[in-house]
Amino acid sequence: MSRLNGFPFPFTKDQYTYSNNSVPLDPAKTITVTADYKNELELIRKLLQKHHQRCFRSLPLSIESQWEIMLLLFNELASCNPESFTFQKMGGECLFQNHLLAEEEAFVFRDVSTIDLEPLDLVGRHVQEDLIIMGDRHDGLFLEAGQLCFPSNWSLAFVQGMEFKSIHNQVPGIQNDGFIDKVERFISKIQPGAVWERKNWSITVTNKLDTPLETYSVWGKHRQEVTCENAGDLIHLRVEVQRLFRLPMNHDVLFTIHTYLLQLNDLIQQESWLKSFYQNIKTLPEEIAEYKGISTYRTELLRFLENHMEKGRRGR
Amino acid sequence: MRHILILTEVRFKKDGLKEKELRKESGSSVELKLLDSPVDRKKIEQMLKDKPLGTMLILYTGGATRKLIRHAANSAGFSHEDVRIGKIYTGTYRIFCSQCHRINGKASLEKSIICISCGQHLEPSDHYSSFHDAYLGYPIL
Amino acid sequence: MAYALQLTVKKIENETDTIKRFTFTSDEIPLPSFGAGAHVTLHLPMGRRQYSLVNNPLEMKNEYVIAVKKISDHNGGSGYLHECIGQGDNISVSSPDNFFPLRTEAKHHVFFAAGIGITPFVSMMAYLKTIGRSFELHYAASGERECAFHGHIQTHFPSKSTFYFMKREEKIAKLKKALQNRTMGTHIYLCGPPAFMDILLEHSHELRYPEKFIHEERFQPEVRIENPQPFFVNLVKTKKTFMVSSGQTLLNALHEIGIDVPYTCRMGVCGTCEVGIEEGDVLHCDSFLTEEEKVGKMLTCVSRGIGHIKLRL
Ligand code: HEM
Ligand code: FES
Ligand SMILES: [Zn+2]
Repeated sequence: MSRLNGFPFPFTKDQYTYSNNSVPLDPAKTITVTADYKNELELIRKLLQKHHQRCFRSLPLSIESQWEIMLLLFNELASCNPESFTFQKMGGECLFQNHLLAEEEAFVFRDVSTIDLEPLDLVGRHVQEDLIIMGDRHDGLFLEAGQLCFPSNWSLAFVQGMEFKSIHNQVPGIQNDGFIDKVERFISKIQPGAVWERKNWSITVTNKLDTPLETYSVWGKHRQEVTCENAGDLIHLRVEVQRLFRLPMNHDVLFTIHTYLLQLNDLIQQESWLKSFYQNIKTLPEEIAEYKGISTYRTELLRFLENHMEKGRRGR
Repeated sequence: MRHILILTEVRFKKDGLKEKELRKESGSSVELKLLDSPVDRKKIEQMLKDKPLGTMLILYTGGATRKLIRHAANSAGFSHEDVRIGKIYTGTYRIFCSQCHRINGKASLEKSIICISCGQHLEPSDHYSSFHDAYLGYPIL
Repeated sequence: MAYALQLTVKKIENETDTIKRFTFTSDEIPLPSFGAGAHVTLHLPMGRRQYSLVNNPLEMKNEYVIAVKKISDHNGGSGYLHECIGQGDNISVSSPDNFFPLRTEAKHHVFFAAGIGITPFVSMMAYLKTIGRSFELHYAASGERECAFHGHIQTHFPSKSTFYFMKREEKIAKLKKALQNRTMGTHIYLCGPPAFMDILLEHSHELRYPEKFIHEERFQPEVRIENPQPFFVNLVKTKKTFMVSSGQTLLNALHEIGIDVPYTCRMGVCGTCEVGIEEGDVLHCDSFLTEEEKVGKMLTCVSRGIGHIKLRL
């Protein structure tokens, strides 16, 4: 049952449609430390080590925002989890201590000679979230830097430098009624101090967190393997808790993505979630199902869920 | 009317000149410069320096040159929308391999291709990046 | 979404005969960081007043510094601050917002200030100097004695600053000249009395500078309805009529009668809950719609009708 606790179940209605489902967060925190911290950081670091080009990209323009984010996140880690992290800043001299990993980062704020990695790359190795910097230029929002280890079937290398709207080009129906323009306007109006949170969901076959477009040929083929029998083991509900934060000093936008996976066998333990998940999968418009890669096994998945709901009814 | 700078490769000179005439008619002050190939980033930067505030750049070049000029223009203070692409058929589309990031030149967006670098079978899409000046090629399993 | 901080007045200094500098701090909480060009909102007995921060965001030591020119007696905000606020007093201050940010992508920043309009630029120049970026200041005032931060600017940015103390006509001619022959990569910022900004803005149009390269400080008073009034609504498509009571939002009222208008933020910032206006006057309270859009649309979570309105629902 413990895996259900704290899982950010994304469905609030019985039918899923795209909407600007962002809500203001109080307290305004950009990251969360969970029990999976150590495991995930090990994976994050392994990926960065082996596939740096795939997992980290930055344009020179982003450097000041990178520094600002490094301070922000070290501060947040320490103030929210004082038993696990400490952070001290005396003038420009900074010391971050990660007690969970028994590590230290000592550096001088805004002095690149005191760090071996770019600031975003460095701080990203201490948080579970993927980190994206959207530069707020006078003609729109552009993806100017990112440390991304756990994307859901997209490529950081491809979207670097791209406009917010073009990044979303492949999402079905995203241009309808000017939806994505409105979202961009909403983001460009976010004022410093506030954090907005939204949940996005998808399904991963297997419990793999790192599903970049670059390795699709490796993990994508598992979509063919889903049957009504093995769905409970194979299928994982994947939820991205995404947060938007206006950097007060540089006026760019920090976008953090915390990815959670929940195995279907666990999900169905909670009856209300089972029902809600079933309804949403059943009524999911075909083009969205296709986009999310669910079409291949939707029938098998629904049958699996129906069987369990049936069992539940008989059980009572 | 904004000041306009047209950069054109020799092979697209005709198109560049046509654009120049059109723009002139609508009252803009227009400059046209021919690029020698291969283009040199330093030279481009020199060309883009100290242009009047509000200058719009129009490019009549192939994809790789376009990418290079766009990046030079961005560092010279041109924003995304200050750089426009002239309507020309360059004969090739640039397709970004989603597996290895190599950009492949291909004659059409209709047919699937094999990446020259990693051998992945790719399906070109309409997902276009002006940063790379390329279309995303999705893997075919 | 600014929230209120309880701060203490640490220092009050005379900047000129009519301008005072106020330093606020707190012993209890770390003050939120801010960017050059940001402002804070002071909660005063006569209402809320916004002032630009003048300190360097990179060297902030748990202090907010503002400069206030006295333009009223103690019944107005500036007079109240000058006459009724003293060192050690407590004051409620909203966390910083920024409607006038520096454009990171600029190669060169050009500032035009008149009078007390200098304040955001004091912060911007300090910041740009620290990060090593290129800028220049053109600053008009009635004379050196009245010129806020004159000494400070002369000390820290002498080679980058030009002062304009001459007669009005000459001043305008010279400022216009300073605006001319600007090149790509330049961003221009204006702050001062409306007449001053209008002249320079108009000249920038004459010079055919695209508006996106010209930035003005505009303090937008928050639109907040102090005592909401009931109003009547007609839905022209579904043919329903109902009243929205003073304690209710239009969005709630629509939901109550079974009209499922989608919503998310319920704060007038996401644009989800918009509906078309067929007829009637609307008190727009959102921070999302453009002025043009407000003619035909309203956001039902915060905005209200006046008297009787008709909606396209
Ligand atoms: C500002 C930071 C954001 C970035 C960098 C970003 C990036 C992306 C990317 C890369 C994708 C995948 C596109 C693909 O398949 O090629 C995506 C999908 C999507 N985005 Fe965003 N996004 C951001 C914010 C938002 C916001 C605020 C919203 C909505 C309110 C939104 C709505 C969506 C939707 C609906 C999808 C489709 C997701 C799915 O069905 O799985 N995005 N986004
Ligand atoms: S619900 Fe967001 S603007 Fe009304
Ligand atoms: Zn390849």
